[in-house]
Amino acid sequence: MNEPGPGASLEVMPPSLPTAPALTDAERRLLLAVDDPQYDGASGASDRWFSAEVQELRLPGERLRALLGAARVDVRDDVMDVIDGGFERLGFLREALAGDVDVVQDVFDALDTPAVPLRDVLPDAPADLMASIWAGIEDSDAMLLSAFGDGEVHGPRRALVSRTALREAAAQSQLQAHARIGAQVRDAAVQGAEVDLWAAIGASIGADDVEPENDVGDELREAVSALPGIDVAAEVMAAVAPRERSMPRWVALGGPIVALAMAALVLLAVVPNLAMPPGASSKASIAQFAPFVMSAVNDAQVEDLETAHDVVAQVVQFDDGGPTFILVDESGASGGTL
Amino acid sequence: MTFLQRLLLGAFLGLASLSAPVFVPSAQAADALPNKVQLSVLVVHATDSESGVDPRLASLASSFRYFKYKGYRLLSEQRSDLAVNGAATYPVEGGRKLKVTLLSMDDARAKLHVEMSNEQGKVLDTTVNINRDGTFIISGPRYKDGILMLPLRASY
Repeated sequence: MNEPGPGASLEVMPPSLPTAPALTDAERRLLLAVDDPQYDGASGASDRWFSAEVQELRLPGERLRALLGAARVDVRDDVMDVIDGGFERLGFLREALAGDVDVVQDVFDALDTPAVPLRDVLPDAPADLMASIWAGIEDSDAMLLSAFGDGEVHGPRRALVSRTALREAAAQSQLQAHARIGAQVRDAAVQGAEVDLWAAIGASIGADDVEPENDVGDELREAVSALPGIDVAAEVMAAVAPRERSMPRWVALGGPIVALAMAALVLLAVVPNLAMPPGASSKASIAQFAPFVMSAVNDAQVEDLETAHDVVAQVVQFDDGGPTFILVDESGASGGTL
Repeated sequence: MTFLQRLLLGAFLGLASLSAPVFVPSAQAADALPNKVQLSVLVVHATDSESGVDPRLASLASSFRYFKYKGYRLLSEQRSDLAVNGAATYPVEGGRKLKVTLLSMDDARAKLHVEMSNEQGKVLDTTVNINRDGTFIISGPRYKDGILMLPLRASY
């Protein structure tokens, strides 16, 4: 057995390392060995560093570095093998070194360490480490189970709780109770969402004394019928009706001129020879049939007289002062003319 | 002014210009202008299908007694003012026409040239010198069941 030589002494643990009263000397030395960059487990140079106990607990450097997060997968498996071998305090060491290890979940699962022992051995761990650990430990069992049932526990804690729930009947009972309570709370929330709308509507239209299940159609119809009659069509037409003119349109457009033109036409029609120059011949107009007045003296002298062939004419005056007749006999006429 | 207003105004002014120079009632013209004669031409139907004398022909009833017809009905009366050398044509039932021309006039008498035509042509052509306000009658053209009588009066 290699033992430190005379004068050799253990190095003082750097102050940054956590001090856990429960740590054994072997564990302390192991920590120091991991921290020492000159440490090479394979070379045996660590013999001067470790006692037999430490050597028994010694792990190859690679395996230790795996705990620090820089492990390869195959090394990870070796570490797991060591952990399965019952190295109970390995989880503490990992946390004590405050390193991010990508096998943390596996380590915790492999440790299968109850929350109480962890609490006991980690009273002085760094604050950030403690916050993450206590966050999963400080919750009471009931709160933790409730959060777990609501899907609010994630990560390592969820795995831990699930393992516990599977193992412990009490935890299972609590989960079931939490599920029932949750359902009841949700149902109550849905039912509580129903609002009596009729109370608000009825008050706004002055019918809040009417039961909503009653037919309010009759009341509404009576109320509408009682309103003053409104001729909607008339109102609309009044709004769109064209502006009334004070006079007919044709008058506004030139009625006076048209009226004068028409008056001129009437004069032409009524007054004979109105537009005829003096002496011109014209078609005689038929005047009104007034009583014919004959003069007392009617002295006519026929200066010449010609008739058509086969037409006989005779000039006769029956009475003195009476009219002269020119008797024309066409009885023998054969169509001849002058 | 719109186009329609201008058009109507122009039409009116045109009509007014035509009517402005002549507008003299015939009665006033006779007194004031002795050189015009108002000629009245009546068309009377002498028939046996009717009886009586048209009241408007009462002044001629005494002259009708010399004819055999039972009734005398006034069919039309036409009047025209004739100046010297002026003429007027009157329609007469049976497709006839009567054209009268004032040849001359003085204070006492008027000379009228009378032409009566039918559908075939002129059948009567005469010149009558009638006293002022005197009447002569052309009678005899056949019409329906009787004859026509055409009193002509020259008033001035």
